[in-house]
Amino acid sequence: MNGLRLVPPVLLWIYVLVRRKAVRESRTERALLLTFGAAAVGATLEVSMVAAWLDRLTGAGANVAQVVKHIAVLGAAAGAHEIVRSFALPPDRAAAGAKRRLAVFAVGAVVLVTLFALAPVHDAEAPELTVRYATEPVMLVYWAVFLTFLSSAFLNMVRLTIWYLQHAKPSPLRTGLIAIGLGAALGLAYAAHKVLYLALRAAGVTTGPVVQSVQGVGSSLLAAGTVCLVAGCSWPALAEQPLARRVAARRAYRTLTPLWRDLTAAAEPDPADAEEEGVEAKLYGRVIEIRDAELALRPWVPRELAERAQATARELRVPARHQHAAAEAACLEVARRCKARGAPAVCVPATRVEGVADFADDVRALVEVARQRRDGGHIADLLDLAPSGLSQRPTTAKRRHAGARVVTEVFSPVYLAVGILLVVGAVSTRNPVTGAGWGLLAALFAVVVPYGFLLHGIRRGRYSDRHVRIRQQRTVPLLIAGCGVVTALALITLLGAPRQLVALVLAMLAGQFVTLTITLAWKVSVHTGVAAGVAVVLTSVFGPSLSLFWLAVALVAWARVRMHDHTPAQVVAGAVMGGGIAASVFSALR
Amino acid sequence: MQERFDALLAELGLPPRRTFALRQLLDQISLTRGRPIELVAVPVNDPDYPSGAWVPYPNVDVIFHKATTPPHSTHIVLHEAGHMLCRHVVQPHALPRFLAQYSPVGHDPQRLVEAFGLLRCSWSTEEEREAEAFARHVGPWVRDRRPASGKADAGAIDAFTRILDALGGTHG
Repeated sequence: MNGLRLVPPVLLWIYVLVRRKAVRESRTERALLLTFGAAAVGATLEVSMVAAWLDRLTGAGANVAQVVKHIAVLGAAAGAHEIVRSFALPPDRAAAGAKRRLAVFAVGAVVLVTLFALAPVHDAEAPELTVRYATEPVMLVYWAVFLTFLSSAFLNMVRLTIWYLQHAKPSPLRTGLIAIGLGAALGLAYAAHKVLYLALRAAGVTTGPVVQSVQGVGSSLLAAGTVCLVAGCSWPALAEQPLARRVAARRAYRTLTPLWRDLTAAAEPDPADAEEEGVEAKLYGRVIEIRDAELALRPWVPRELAERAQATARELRVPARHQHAAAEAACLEVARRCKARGAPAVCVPATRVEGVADFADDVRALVEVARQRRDGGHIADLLDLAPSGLSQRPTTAKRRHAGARVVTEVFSPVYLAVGILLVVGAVSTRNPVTGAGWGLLAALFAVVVPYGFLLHGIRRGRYSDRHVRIRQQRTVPLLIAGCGVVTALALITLLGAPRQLVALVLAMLAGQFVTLTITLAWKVSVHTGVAAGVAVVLTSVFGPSLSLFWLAVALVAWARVRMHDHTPAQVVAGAVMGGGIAASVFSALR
Repeated sequence: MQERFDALLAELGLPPRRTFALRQLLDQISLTRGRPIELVAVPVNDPDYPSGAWVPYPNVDVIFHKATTPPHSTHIVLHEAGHMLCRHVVQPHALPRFLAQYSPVGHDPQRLVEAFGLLRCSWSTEEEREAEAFARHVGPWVRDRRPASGKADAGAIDAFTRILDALGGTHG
């Protein structure tokens, strides 16, 4: 254990020594060095031998190391705060008020040292400043000062990060800031946990999970937060390394493949066999070919279509920063279909492509278009169906989708979830009516109430439709559903519901957590996930004959792909996820 | 083929597999040809027009390219520069529509057709393939990837300004 603890400080010190000359380069470099240096000091003092040595050396009693560590944590937070500012704000605004913040940090450090000096000297080697002396008034003030400084820095960082994330396009900087924001959030959790602990101790509580776990929880939160901060601060620089660039290029290349395949099939025939070596050269070729195809398709994108696409994206509440790409993806798709069915070209003056300055921008823009095309493909369908003179097949397309639409509605996750809760409840107790009652209670909180929130949100125009077809809108409804499931779980556990039902609700919770995590990056199919979960639960409760339900899963998967709401990969991933979670969580706990 | 491109670049004083500015390459080519190179962005969408064309006028080389994203425009320009660099013999191509639209005011389009041009529209011929391969080879090494018009004699600029005014576009 102690050996492992040596790794972070050694790495951090190496970084600081290697980069020490960068101090003169820029403000960001200075802030980086401050953050890493402070983190290095803090991590070094985590090694108990070093801490004991420092305590002995200063002769001021035990716990001197603790104070130094706390000041180092403050320094790391202050440095990271400056880095977030320099990432997220224009240079002049980022630098504004830096002297004031430095002064505040210095005052904070002095106050901490003074308070520590005022505290009664404890010669005995104490395991933790918090544990033994938490109730001494001077130490309470000490903690109040430390936690206030820390949480105000972290709060500012989280706020800045969220603001930046809402405005910025994907980039290494944005990825770095996500990690820093996560680190700051962990730091806030650390502060909140400490406050709770001190409040409990001040109230005279000496047992219970919060009090007993204080050391472990505190240092794990702090360690995880520091790792996130350090990773986030160094990410933009790391992303420029050749290996990272190759990885990023490969990812972009893969994401662009479906867009490229469809567009180049519709446009001019393929160019000569690519003989470039290396994925970056391949990516270059792919971007050029997509842009060539886009040029060739432009005559099928009259201004009226472009405007309608923008309006549709807005109406469907695609988040503002994705609207442009969503509209472009839809236009390209409609143009492709029009050209394929031999519609006449409409020659219009060219419009400038906005917001692309260099190759990296072009890659980002196209990747965004490819993603929007994958996640919001139905915008093109809506445009293609709308009366415009471009399309003459709205009725057949509608009829073709009718079957898929019915399947989507009948096997909607809401009905399936309520149904399976009632069924499992009914077979879990001797009296089926009592059991179904338990199921109803769970369904009320886990499904009906969150669904009510969703319907309310649709009426207020916050979501596009009941199946929330736009991925970026899915996060909040999923979070609300998660809260509902947690409430249901708490209620039925406290009231003593049958074990099998509790296992089912736990599986639902696990499923929701996984779905939410995936949804942040990719639109996994909830329909097939829930259907597959139901299939597994039915089979494990009623025996193998019910595995016939997998036919319904296949039907749902077909319908979701047919409606252009999901790709085949998304429905397969959904089924694997739902089935896997039900098989592991439900079957293990029932 | 790639070694040949690297050798061609080295002849121009551009070390291969190093980044360079597009204008640097064009300036070097125009030095060897002894005449300026002009870039003109054409704001058209017509699929019948090629995305780029090199038209060697009597005392200036003009590279027309469709208005698109800067990296894409740069690539189109590189393709045409590839033709020049590989000393392709200009074929009397069928480009009347293109030139009828973009010939400088006061020039007879038919004469310009006779002045020849090379187009980047398809990769059908061996020379088009070679030029495209050149553009793909050097494209990733262009630093700015943003074609910009450089210095040229006033007459040429004037002529192009007039064409562009007539088209309602801007300089590329």
